[in-house]
Amino acid sequence: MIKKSHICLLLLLASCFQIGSSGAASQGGGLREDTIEHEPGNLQNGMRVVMNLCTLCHDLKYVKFRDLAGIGLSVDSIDKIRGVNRANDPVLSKMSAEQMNALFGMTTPDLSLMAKARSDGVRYIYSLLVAYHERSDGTIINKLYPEIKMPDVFAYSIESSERRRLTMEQNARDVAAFLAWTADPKAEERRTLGVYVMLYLFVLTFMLYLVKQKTWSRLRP
Amino acid sequence: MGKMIQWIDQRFPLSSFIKHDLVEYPTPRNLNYWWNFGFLAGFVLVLQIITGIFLAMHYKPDASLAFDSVDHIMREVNYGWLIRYMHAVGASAFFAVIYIHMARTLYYGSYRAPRELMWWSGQVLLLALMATAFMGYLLPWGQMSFWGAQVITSLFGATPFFGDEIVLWLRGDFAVGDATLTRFFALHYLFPFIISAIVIIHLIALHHVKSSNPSGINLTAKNNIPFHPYFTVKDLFGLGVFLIIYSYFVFFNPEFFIEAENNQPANPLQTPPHIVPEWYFLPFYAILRSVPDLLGGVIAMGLSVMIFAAMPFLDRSKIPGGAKYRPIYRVLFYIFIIDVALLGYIGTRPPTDLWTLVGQIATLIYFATFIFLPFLSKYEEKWLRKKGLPPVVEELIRCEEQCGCTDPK
Repeated sequence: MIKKSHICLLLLLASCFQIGSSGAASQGGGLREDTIEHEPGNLQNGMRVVMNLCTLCHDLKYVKFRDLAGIGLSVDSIDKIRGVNRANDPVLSKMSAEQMNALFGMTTPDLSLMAKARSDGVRYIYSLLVAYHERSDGTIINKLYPEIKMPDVFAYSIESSERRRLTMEQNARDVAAFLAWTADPKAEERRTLGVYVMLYLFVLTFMLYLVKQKTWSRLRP
Repeated sequence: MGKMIQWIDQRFPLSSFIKHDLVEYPTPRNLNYWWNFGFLAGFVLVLQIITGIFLAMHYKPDASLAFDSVDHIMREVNYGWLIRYMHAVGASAFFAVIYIHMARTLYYGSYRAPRELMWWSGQVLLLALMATAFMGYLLPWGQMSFWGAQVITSLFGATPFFGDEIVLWLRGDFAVGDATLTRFFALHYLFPFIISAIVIIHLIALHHVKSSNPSGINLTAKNNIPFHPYFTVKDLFGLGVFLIIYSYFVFFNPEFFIEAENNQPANPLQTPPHIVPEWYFLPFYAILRSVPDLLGGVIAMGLSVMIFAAMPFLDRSKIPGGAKYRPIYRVLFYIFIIDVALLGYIGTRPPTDLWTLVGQIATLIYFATFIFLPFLSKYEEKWLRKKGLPPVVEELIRCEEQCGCTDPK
């Protein structure tokens, strides 16, 4: 699934662009407001991008390949994605810590919990991925997080076609949606159970209120 | 069944205990819903102990495994996410319930004679709860866990002469590390049982002096009703309302009380930009920060928690009925509550000049409400008596003296 050419491209990108342009003034820049959809289609598209691009450098060590069934993938598709990995293996980067250190001067953060590890994390991930901007001197800067060492993996900043930029934005939203799932895979189960618990508690509490009123009405004033 | 109870009763006062302390236990009939929070605190304590024990079955108190083991609980353990979120939200719920319980005591003057020992055992419970919560917060071994523990333990370094030795003794290492995590885990497991023991003392005192009530006087027999069924059912209804709010957070907003920063594993080499304590420590944290000198700040923070114990001495008024019939005390009460909320907000702000100044003013107001209370309460009583007490209060005082009266509303 993961092609060698991608790694080459990434290394090329990393060396071309001024990585970690320190000293760049923070340009503020709030988070993007667009709606991020969490439909199975979005999650699966996000998963494809994450597997093809993000996992070149990043681990998702708390996610096992078999867990991907949680976003509606069949066993066959999971088998295709995992390749030589076992279903019970965690999703790990193709690069070793040493390679990352050589490339970025740091080990890349694990992405499994990223959507919960930043405030407004899902929106943050989406906004970060499309915050790259080409300056007049040709250097690329991330307006949301100028100190970032990650290159513009979508090449969003140098894309001139509006249509392709929109596709990249959609991909970025789907990556954010997928990482929201990896950070909290039980969210749907939790909400479903929560609805039943709440309904039960509302009925129970209302009945307890009636019992309380009935009991207390027996008291003489 | 009857024979078995009889057998037990000859050897242990089971039936008489249940009858005396649960069923027939005389309770003032005029208690309002603010009196539900003692029971709720007991419920949350049990909830925390049960969920905590199940978490401990899967948690690994080891600096290299702790963070992963929490994630293991969230993903792999059957309903681990539920148990963990119940425990995490439960900590916040515990403080919310306890703070309301304390505010009720302050508003209605329930700390006054003869309930000083209840108030003081409650104060010990508050300290034990704070210690337990603080140590528990280290266990997930996230960034905020680590740095929060690092900051709070370093505060003990302000102790004159042997500050450094105390910090080293607390951490078991020169920085917060594996030694700290294992001892905090051991103590976090131990403390709830110490708390349970103090709760029993708190309840023995309660059953001796009986519940206070909104009128502020000791009611005559006919104004007391048996605990069961009247208060069992009222407490259960209150519990239902509590569980609805609690479940909202557990199921629909479980990360509300968890700092995003704490979903990153502890990294001793990277200090987070803002180290903030949990919401329930924020007012005290703001007081700590508003004193320029570290030792002074630590003393002020300690004092801000401990000063509640002085309430029975500070409040010198004998007017019954709590804040309801005491206009000056009532104003002080609301100033205090608003001030605590303000301090809590300041605790979340970065310490800029403006916020430091606001924090210092709020800290002064915090302590001023306590310092002026003896004079204001004495003055208030004189003034009220001179002006003529409201007829209701006159009636209450006469009731208490004669100990046989009509229904005090």
